[in-house]
Amino acid sequence: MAASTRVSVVPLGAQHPVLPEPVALKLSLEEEKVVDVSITVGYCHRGIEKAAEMNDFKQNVFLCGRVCGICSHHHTTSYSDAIETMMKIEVPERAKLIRTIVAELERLHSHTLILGLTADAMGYENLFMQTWRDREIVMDLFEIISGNRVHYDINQIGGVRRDIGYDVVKKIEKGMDLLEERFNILAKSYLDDPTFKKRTKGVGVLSSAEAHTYGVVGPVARGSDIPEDVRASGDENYAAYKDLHFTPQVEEDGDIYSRTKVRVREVFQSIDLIRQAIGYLRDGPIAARVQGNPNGEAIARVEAPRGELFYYAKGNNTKNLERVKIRTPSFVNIPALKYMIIGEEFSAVPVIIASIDPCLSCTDR
Amino acid sequence: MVEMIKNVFKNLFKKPATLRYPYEKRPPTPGYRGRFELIPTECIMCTMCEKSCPADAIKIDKETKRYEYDPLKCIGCGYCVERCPKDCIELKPEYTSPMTSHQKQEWTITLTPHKEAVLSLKEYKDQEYARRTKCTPLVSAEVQKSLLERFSDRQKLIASLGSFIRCPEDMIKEEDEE
Repeated sequence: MAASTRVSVVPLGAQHPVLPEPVALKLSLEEEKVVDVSITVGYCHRGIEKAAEMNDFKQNVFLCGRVCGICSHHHTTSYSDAIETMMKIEVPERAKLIRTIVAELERLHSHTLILGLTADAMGYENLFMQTWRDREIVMDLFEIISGNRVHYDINQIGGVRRDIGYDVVKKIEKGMDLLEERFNILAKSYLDDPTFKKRTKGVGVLSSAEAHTYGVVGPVARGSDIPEDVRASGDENYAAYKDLHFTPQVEEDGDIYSRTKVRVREVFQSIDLIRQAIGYLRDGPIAARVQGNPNGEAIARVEAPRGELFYYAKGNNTKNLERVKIRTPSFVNIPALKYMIIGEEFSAVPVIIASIDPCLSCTDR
Repeated sequence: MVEMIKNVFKNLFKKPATLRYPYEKRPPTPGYRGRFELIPTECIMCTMCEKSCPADAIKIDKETKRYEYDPLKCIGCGYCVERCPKDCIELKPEYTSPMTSHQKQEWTITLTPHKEAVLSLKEYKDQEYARRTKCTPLVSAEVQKSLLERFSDRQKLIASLGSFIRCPEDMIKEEDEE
């Protein structure tokens, strides 16, 4: 008797407990196997690009920070970078280093967040809670540095708004030591745990060739054997990365496990980068003077926790900008989701979604 | 297995990672951008905060001297604190209490005679500045000098009066011409 091949359609999202943010997936299932999927985004569109044309270019820093709650600092860095290039402002070294320190702290908290959510998506609640408990170390540091746990708003055009004092530097160093110690234990669970391996190895594979086709960025690309990292390849204006020593973390397999591996290694890499940046800190001004209005056009690229973040800005010599275009990493990574999901078991879908670290607030803007 | 048993005993005697909130409160971090507070006796209604606010949370009515702040619109960026020339806005390191309805916070600004004088001068300056875009003297050198003597802090005056004493060279030139 031939098995009946009835295709049933299961909607996942837009609101679903496993999804941190609204994305709608329509999964066509044959038994337990996914044969087709259609992905819809756009549930949290807020018209930020348009709003950026209404505000004055200095206020836009705060607006751009509010595109995303997790990679807030990278958005402001990218925007400030674009405006600074346009206005030919030289950012002081100390400001660049503070930007780097906050950016790496942000990568730490973003990576620990999504590692926890990956564990949560596969039902590994304990690991999820432990990861998020240790994430609090970073969140507390943010509050000490900038005065807020989320939306730190440390950037302004021409530099940073708050200086890092000696006592704060000591606190960051202490926090990094504690986080490294705690994360050494957690990394064992992520990399060696048989349960974790079983759910992630060989699941949601994105081969290197396909990764090129879809043009994925960030840890997803690096998990698929593409050594792409804006911190290493970007222009020399981008924060203080040209002084720091690091190599992009690359994995070959392209499955969830290798993406997780990349993120776990990047957590340690970020801790190392913060220590390096602290070593370079010297006394000096934290912000350059801004005169006049932006005129012309400029682009800026930064390596957000999810991958390359791109800003384009066009000024017309008034305080309002003519156009701000934001291309976010998740927007590029989400189409690749289709390729990863098709052919997998239904139960693997939430883990695959979590593994590309989708940020829908970024995507929809 | 040995490690697991070790962990179990460790966790039995460890303090919880969370705080027992209503009984045990987290000490506020210095510099935390929390509750918005205005010092109405210091404010000079320059509307810098209103103009700088990216979220339009601040509204100032110059005629009735009302200062309105919408806590639900405020994004807590602290840009107004930065821009305030009088340092009369503060974001206190306290948490805001929850609201049951959309209420705006309001203050009435009290103006001392001194502040009123500065304001009227500023208004005059604004009008004049709008009329003549060219950098020209608005007050004569003598008035300027007397003003400078009257105010103890010279820097403050320059900051608050702006273009009054902007272009001394131009002033001298024009006076020579006259």
